[in-house]
Amino acid sequence: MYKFEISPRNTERVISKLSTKYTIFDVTKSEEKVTFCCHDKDRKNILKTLKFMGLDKTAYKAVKMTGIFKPFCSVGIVLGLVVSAVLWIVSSFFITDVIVMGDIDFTEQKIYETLKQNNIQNLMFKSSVDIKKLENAIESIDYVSYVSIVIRGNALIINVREQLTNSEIVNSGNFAPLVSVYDGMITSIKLIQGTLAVGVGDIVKVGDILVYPYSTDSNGDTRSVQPLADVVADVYITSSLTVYDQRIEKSYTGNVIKNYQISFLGLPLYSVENEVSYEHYDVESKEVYISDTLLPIKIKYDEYHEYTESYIDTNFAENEQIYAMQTREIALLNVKNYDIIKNESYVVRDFDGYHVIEFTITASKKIA
Amino acid sequence: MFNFFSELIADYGLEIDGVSSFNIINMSNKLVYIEGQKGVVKISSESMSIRIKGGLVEVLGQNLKLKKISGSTVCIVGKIESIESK
Repeated sequence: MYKFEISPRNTERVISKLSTKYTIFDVTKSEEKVTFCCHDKDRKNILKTLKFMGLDKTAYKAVKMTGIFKPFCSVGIVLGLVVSAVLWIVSSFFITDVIVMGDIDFTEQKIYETLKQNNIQNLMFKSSVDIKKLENAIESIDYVSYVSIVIRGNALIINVREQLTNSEIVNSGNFAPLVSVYDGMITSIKLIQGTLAVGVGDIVKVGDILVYPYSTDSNGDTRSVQPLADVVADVYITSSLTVYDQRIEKSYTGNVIKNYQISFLGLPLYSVENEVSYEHYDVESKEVYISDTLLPIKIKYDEYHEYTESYIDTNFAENEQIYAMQTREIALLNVKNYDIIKNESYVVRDFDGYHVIEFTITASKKIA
Repeated sequence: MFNFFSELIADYGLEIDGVSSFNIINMSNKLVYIEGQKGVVKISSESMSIRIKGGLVEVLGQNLKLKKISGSTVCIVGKIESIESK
């Protein structure tokens, strides 16, 4: 069915004329326009008649009404859609598939046993799955080093990685020499296997060979071995921090502009885009999928948080100790728990408008 | 083919040319069906005037709407207050 809109001039004459040949429905008249409907088959002829009657092109327009809604006229289709929607909603509450993936060679059996112990099966409520508890249970299995469990659609996906065994490391093929990973002065060496290239008191740099990958037997024959040794050295761990005489401090005003965009398969369907008039602002973006199982409809939120900037005097002279401690904290990031700190010191270098603190920690550290 | 008006004319022995004149049906003051219309004279939500052979039918009421008009018939719906044939 087509709907016509025409200008309200000579309405009665137009309708009378059309009704002699065509069936006209739902005639309504207002001050601005007159609308009426007709069958699809009459559309072309009615347009011709309107043109013949002297109505200019802009005075009328035809809009197909039933094209979009026609499919919904069928009770069967509507019922089918309703049933499908209900089934989809109901199915979204269930897990219908349990997928175990990852590098699993000898823990597979135990993983499935653990799933069984935790009542994980192919048809179960999503809400009945305690993901954290299940992750902990699988992680506690020997040789499992990493577990990640997610629910995607109707599937429970368990991603597992196993630990590498020692034998895999030792027998991994061509042996490389053991090299230093720090600059420092060697203070002790405990050789396990291989041939030493350095001695106590030697100064080594990063990449220097510490132990060669071979050993020599009593007959003077050499054979390839995995070089293993505990080499401890005094290493210098340094860090630096630049402190400017002034720093910029942000203060959020609390004003927020929120924009969002709804898209389907990456194509924008609807968006609200307010103009961002702030001089300074931070953007916080978030993307949410309305449904990850039926339609990939995504809503992207952008929040613009206004802030003002002010210059703060850092008072370096007064706060030197605080900055020195901050620099120390940076250096400590490279100090392991079992490293022994032997000495700490720092120097300050002053420049125009800023100061550089260099902190040095001398630590007894395993370098190989 | 059965025609309600032809049956009435025959039953009551009326001397009316059922084809060339007009007939009006009012259903509960909610729908007016006019047979034998010759054109629309006035369309508004308060009154509708339909030309008939030798006169005019004026339908007065509220929220009147020309529901269907085709050939010689017209159907008006709304809250019908009066029907005058002039």
